[in-house]
Amino acid sequence: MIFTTYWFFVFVGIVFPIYWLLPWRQARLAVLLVACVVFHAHFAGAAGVVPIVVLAIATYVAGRSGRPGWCLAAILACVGALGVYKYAGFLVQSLVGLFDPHLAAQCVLWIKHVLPAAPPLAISFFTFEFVHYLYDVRKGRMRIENPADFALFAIFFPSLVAGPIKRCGDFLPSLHRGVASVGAEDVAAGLGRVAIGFGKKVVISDNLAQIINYYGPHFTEQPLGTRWLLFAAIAFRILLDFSGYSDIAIGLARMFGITLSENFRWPYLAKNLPEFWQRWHISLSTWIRDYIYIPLGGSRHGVTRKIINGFIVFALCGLWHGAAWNFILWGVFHGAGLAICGNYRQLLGRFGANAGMFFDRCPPLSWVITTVYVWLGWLLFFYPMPQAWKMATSLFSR
Amino acid sequence: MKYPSPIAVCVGVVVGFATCCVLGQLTTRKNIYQDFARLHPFLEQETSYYPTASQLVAVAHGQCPPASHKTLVVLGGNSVFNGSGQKRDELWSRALQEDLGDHYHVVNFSAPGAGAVDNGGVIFECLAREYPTALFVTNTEPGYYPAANRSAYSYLFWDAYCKGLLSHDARRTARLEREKATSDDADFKLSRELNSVCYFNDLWTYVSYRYVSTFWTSWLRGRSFQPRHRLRDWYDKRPKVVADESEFQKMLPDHLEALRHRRPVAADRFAQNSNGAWVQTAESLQQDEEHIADLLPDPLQRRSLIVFTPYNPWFLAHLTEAERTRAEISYANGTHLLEKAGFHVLSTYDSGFSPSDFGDTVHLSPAGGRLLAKLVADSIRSMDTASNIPAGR
Repeated sequence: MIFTTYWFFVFVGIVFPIYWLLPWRQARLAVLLVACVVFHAHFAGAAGVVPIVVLAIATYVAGRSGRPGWCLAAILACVGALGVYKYAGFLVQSLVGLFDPHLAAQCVLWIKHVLPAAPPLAISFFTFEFVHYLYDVRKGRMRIENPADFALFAIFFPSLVAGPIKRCGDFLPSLHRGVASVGAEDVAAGLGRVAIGFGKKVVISDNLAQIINYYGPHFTEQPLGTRWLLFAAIAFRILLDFSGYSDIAIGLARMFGITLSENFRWPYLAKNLPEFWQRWHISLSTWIRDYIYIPLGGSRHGVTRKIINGFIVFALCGLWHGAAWNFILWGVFHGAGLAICGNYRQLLGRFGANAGMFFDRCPPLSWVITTVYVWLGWLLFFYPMPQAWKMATSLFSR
Repeated sequence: MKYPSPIAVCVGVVVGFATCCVLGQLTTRKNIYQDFARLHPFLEQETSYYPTASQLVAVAHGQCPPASHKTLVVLGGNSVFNGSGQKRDELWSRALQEDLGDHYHVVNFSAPGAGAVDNGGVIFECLAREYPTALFVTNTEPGYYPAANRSAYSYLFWDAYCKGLLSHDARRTARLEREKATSDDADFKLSRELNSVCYFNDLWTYVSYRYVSTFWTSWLRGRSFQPRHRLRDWYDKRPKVVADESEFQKMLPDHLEALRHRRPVAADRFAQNSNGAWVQTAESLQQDEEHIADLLPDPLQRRSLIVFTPYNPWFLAHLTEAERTRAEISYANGTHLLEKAGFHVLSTYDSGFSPSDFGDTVHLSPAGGRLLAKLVADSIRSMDTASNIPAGR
């Protein structure tokens, strides 16, 4: 975890006072840009920096030109790079493997030989931010003229590793406000948020991870109450780990006077699945809504199309989290949940309408069902399907 | 809400941080460990607890002040010297203290899985200048001589090294420079460098010991967050070691296999000559010699006694003739190489231990611990404690 390295502490300890105490706007901008470059180069290495620089240049040039064709080409380049670096092995294994497992194994070996051992640092985040920018340029909504602005949008270090996924329409005004007028209240609020993030991540989530690693392999052998406690531990571990990371990113940005969008709003308080996705990894779910779901047609072409779009979107959302079937399955699981949640009132006629009314009048029950459903999803997310199934069924049997 | 001025915030953060650094440093001034007898699992890294070099030095200072003019005996080594299986009252190092008498003070810094100079060796080197008559006693197996920076307890070496507690050793400095180019633990070393200035590990270790621990560990489970000073020696609640043949018989398959892979016995360091006799290969002898030279800076070897770990003769009897021969050669060669480098050696192979002295292949029962204490005490008394201790860095 990059934010818990000593290098990072030293880095922030050097960069932040310089940035804060400099009275000139342009100088602050320059310090921030240099810091972002140093941060990215240190953690990504040459093999991780070069592809991102190439994609960034392509994105900037295409955006600057404003030509829809160039933007589309750059979008395809970004998505293609993500596909090659992150998913080539998985896709070849899954698709070619259906017909010739031996050939698939050879192809995977070749891919491992040709590509770096790990994809470039944060390539998923870069791709989503570049695609958002290019899409909006195509639609004529914006265009970044200044290369320094674009560079800072691309490699702003607090959000580089784990988001939130930025929108340049929000980020750039905030960046310019920040470099012009970062104040003590920003620093105090930012430091507080960073402290909360470290507390969530280091004090709670990392300890939960130890407990899960210790008891997890023997989940089904535990007493029923312990199984449910472990089930909750798995759910809170991912929430606190991820939201802790987001808190650190948002707090750090705030220390520099820059406001990043919120990524989590008490997601386990959601009373239905759509509400959960309005509270969980908000920057990702809104990105998917705006740049995949709505372009696919969203809910504009009838119930069937809406359900299909939902499944496609959430399968992709799962795949975004990692190149493995369990992530896709997790996405489809949520797609199914949303399809049921969003349509049962119409599809089940009177019974559906009554059930919906009952759930509306009994929010605790809706909350319990939603929470258990979401938490069951985490079993699919973390464990292979047979193990997840065994764990899930053991929760409902003595 | 009205926020203070930027300068006030800056000053507040700096003062708060500096206060923590000073508090961390203060924790190293005196011995924080009540009634310290050994680094049992609740006081070492197996339970994510990392006492720092300064804090262990303070243990020696607290128990045996330099002005007391006693001969300090610093124990290092692995679980055998740590008294694995022996309760606190049965600990072999207590028997050693009783045997040596009041002119000596024994302090046990051995730890499970440690190499010859981990922990104890590092602390001995830190103390060598202040205690010109101090002795270092450790155990290992022939052929296993990892330098303190290459072992499971390397954190302690780097802590002492970065704090400037170790003596200057040009050979070691050159070796560390060479190794730097190929090492991938830059962030770990940076943490040691930072700690040598800020003492955050020292502060955390102190807070964990006195007030609250912050790590869940499977060893402690529900008690993980209790302050460590409330936790008694882990071995005190373990079942009594029963040394009898029926127990050994149950252990035999696994332990014999493990014994066959131990360095003194394993075939990979040996070859058969034209007469069919086993000899240690020139390559492994040279490697052993090089590793021995990296153990301690000259002339601390002359104050150090290395005890070769005794093996349970019941298990040795189940080895093949060739395996026993290799073990004998290992012990003989190890003794020769260590003595050549200036160390004192106590080779315990075939030195009067009986099966009832053991709880398993190598770990000693309380009776075995008393026999070990007697052998070590005799060796200590006969050691030449010439001076020539190098100056501190």
